[in-house]
Formats: sequence, structure tokens, C-alpha cells
Amino acid sequence: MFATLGVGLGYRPEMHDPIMKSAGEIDWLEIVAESFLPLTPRRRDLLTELTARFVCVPHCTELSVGSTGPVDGRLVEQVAELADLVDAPWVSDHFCFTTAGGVRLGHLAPVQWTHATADRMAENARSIRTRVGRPFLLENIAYTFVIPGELSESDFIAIVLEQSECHLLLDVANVHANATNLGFDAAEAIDRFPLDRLVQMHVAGGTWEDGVLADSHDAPVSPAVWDLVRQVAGRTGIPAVLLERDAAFPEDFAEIVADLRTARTAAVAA
Amino acid sequence: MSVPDLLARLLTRPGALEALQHRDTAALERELGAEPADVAAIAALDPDAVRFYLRTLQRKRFEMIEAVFPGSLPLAREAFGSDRLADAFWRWFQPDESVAADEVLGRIAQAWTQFAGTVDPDRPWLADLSRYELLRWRAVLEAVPSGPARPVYSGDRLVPAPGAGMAVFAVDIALLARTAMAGEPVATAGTHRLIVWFDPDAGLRVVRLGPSAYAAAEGCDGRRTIAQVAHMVAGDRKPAAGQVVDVLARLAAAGALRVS
Repeated sequence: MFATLGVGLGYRPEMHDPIMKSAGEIDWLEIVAESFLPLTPRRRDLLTELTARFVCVPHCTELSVGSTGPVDGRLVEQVAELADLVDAPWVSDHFCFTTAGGVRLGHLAPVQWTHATADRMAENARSIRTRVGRPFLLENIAYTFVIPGELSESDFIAIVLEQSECHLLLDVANVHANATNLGFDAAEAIDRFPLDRLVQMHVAGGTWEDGVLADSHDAPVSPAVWDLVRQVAGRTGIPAVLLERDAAFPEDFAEIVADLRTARTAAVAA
Repeated sequence: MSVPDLLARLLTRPGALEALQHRDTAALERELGAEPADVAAIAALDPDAVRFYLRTLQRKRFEMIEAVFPGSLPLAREAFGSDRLADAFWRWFQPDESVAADEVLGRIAQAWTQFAGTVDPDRPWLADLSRYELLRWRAVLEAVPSGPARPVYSGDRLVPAPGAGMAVFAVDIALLARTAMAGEPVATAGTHRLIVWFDPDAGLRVVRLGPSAYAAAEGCDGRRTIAQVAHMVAGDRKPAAGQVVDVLARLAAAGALRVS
């Protein structure tokens, strides 16, 4: 069973002071794991400050679980050390790869939804979960193109999670962006996700760029995304909901607090 | 060849993306260095969607290196726009596939340092600023934790703290802070001496020294005593020698020098 963490916020240094002042509105923090690695004394001090007030959950972006080879053992060791330091209830990354052919892309790239990819990804996810010694969650990503394969996204995700005994971090904003850009129904897509493995949810706002709804995390959450949160909440419990805001930080933190409060009500709207 | 490898090549070889745009399968195979059967999945991609993803990718790359270049990169971005700058930089810098993933950021950082000098002839200060930022970054990477500062006693030997480095730059950091960071060209390029070291508690420290103070710090070679350094810099002038000792004591207290 997973602890119910409530409504959290992605920690960004730019919002440090208002986050600390608004601790009553924030149940937990998600920290970008790679931003704290390696664990220098200064970073340890910051984590000590954060964990004194909040449950902290490391969210990785560079484990490249979808790479064709094994994951970077040194990075996994560092993530494990970080998770131990903050006593994380779980650790997460994405259904993607970020390193291929010796090149670090620097951004999440979509994998091909095939049985072969699912098998390999499940093996990597399982090895990470085992080494970290904590539950490992994988998040569906935003993408602007799909590499043709024999599986649907939801089937692919279900296979990986089942084989690896990992859990789902459902980003409803990503589903909304993908549905908008590629022309499918977000609500129907979410119904096909393996919600029995849902542990955490991401919500965020995006902006339009060149006719594409970008998953830019730089705006308030849209009503369409809140509707998806309510839809999921109507089907299953959501142990943890997280608001992501990575850019265009508002001068008035009340904008963030407003989204946190909406998340709190939407996530329990059965 | 795996799909991730092919996609990585597609995203780093402009010729491959051009081939995809023109639906030229033969050229795509050639650019990707792959067999026809391997390329099928990539050839089916929407080139406009890939280009949009590539722009996002470039911005993310810039976000990564912004940690290394917190001054020059945002200034260049502000001047030229994210997309234009990203396109220009990535066309200029073609990553070598043989570079280990761990080294990519370092390669990009070095490339940015050179690129910043060519991005605009009217903004030569961008190159100066990027060189300084690269040095700061290297100092952090190469830093070795230093021990706690101890009081300085006359007669003891001083050595630079582990991780400390002294160098002469053709830029004035304080001037850069006032002018280049505000988007103004550096008015004069003097030769100011810096001592750079890593303090495990405070992070990277940079102190600008006057000629006498720099000579004093440079005299700390692990063999001379404090008194010998003071004499080397100030001669028989006792007040000046006292000032040298005071400078060394302050540097030691800050963790830049250690008593051996």
C-alpha cells in the first residue's frame, strides 16, 4: 500500500521562499533528482531544510529507462543515495529514453511501442527498483510524434508496469497535450491506462507554440486538465497529486496556491 | 541499429531531417547509416512534428548549459531569441557520436565558449563572459574539498588550499558584473588577478587581488614561510610587510590558503 501524500508541488529554487512560507498549502515536494546530484554539502543542507518541512520524492529525468542497453549504474547508485537521504516513499522517471548512440539528448524522447521495447524497458525498470529498494514509478510523456509500433501506448505501459512490478505516474496534462496535438480523445485514452497501478499524478499548464500545445509547465492548469483529474478521481483513489511549474514563475504565489487548492478538491471528486 | 539510436541520429544530423522532410528514403538511409528495414519506422515520422520536438530539445539543451553559463547564455538568448539561437548554435556545433554521454555537457560547454565569440561581432564581451563562466564551472568540477581555515602564525608555511587556483584574466569581474551583465560592452579590459577556489560550504569563491596581494598569494609555494613571503613582497618596509601578513591571514581564514 502507498501512503497518501496529498497535493504537492515540484520544487524549483526560484520558488524556494514562497514554498517555505506556504508550507500549509503544500503537502509534499517532488525534487528533480539530477539537480541534487552529486550530493554536495550545500545540496545536502538544502535537502535537510526541505525534508524538515516536507516529504520529498525524487523525480528522475536522465535514467533513460527506454535505452536499448542497461541503465547507467553510477547514476542509479546516486539516485539510491538521494532516495535514502530523503527517505523517499518512491522514486520516478519516464517512459522514454534520453541517451542513445552515446549521445545524451537532454530531453525525453518517445520509445517505440513494441513488445521488444516493453521487455527491455521492464528489465531496466526492474533493475532500478531493485537497486533503489523503493517503489519505482514511470510517467507517460508528452510527445509530438509517435514511432509506429504494434502496441497502443496504454497497452505498452501496462505491459512494462506489470513485468517490472512498477507503478504508474499518470501525467494528465501530457495526455491532454498529446490528444490535442495528435487528435484523439483524452478521456477515452485515460480510461485505457492501467489505473490499478496508479500512485501519483502530474498536473501542469501548457502554452501554444506554432500551433502545437506544448507541455511547457509555464501556465496555470487548464479546465480540460482538471476535468481529467476529476475523471480519474471518479474511478480510483489518487495517493499523490503534484503540480508542476517550471517556468514563467508568477510574481504572486497565490496563482500557484490557487492551482494547489483546485487540485485538492478535484482529486477527491469521486 | 535500434530505433533510439536512429532517432538520436535523426535529431543530430541536419541532412537526415532534410531527407525526411523530402521523403527521400535513400538519402535518409545514407544519412542515418542504416539498412532499409531499420529506417522504415523513422521514415514514417511527421517531419514537422520532429522539427517541433527538435526545437524543444534545443531549448532543453540550453537549459542544461545555462547552469554553466548563467550570464552569457541568457544575454545571447535575449538578444537573438531562443529558437534562432538554438538553431544557430546547433548548426554550428555538431555533436560527435563517439563522445561518451557523460562528456556531452562538457563538450557543449566548450563549444558555447567558442560560439559566444562568433555569435555577434558587436558583442565581443559575450565571449569574455562565457570564458569566465567556463572557468568557474571547471573550478567547481575540479574542486577538491579544502580543510577548515586556521589562524595564521608568523613563521608557518602557507600553501594554496586544495582546489585553489590563481590566474590572470584579461577581464575585470566586477566590471563585467556591472556592464556585460547589463548588456553593455566592457569599456576597458584590464589585467586583474584572481584567486579562485572551492569552499565546500560556500561553493566557488572568486577574489580579485591587487598586484601586491596577488604576489603575496603567489609566493605561497609550500616552502616559503609567511615571514619570507612578506619580505619578498614588502622588503624591509615593516608596515607593508604587516599588510601582506594580514592579506595572507584573511585568505587563509577564507579557506584559500592553508597552513602547512
